[in-house]
Amino acid sequence: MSFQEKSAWILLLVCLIVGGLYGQSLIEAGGIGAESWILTAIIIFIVLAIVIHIAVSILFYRDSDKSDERDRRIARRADIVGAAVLNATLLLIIALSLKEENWMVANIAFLGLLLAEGVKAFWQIILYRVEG
Amino acid sequence: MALPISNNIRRLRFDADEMTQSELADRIGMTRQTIAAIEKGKYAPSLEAAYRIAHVFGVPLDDVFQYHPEQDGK
Repeated sequence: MSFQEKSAWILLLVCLIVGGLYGQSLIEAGGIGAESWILTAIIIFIVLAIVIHIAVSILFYRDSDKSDERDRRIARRADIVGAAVLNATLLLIIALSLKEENWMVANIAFLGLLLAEGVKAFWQIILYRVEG
Repeated sequence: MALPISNNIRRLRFDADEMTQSELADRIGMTRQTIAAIEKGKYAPSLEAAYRIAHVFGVPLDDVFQYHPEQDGK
């Protein structure tokens, strides 16, 4: 197993651990709208991911710095799926914030989505020009 | 999905003093896992990588990779 695949397993594991704990605490606190420890969860996620990555790098030091075109291609294909989920989540945030009349959140989410699409299109044009 | 490209990398490695997948990977800047995937026909390398592999064995590209148009859906 390449280090990049190990890294994907690590991130999946950390997502399951943090997501499980966070989801459980939300349920206990009364649902999706309850006050939560979101900042702590973000910190735990980052720290856990870094610590496990370091441990695995030490255990498998021989291939910890190796990645190639196949790793990058797989990562790009996985990124497309992740981006689709992120976009769907952002659209849900826009819909919910419009329903709640929380214009600031709706505007930030909408402008963020617009900015991301704009940057993507701009970058795509640059790449077509450079590689064309 | 099967790729329309086959290869002789395993035989070429064997003929080159039983070169290991790791040795070949190190020489062309790839991981051993990618060499294994190419040999199994699960991954088609870039043109650059294909030429690097051919260069390691000192043979033309056609001796390493073969294209089968009848298996290509395009």
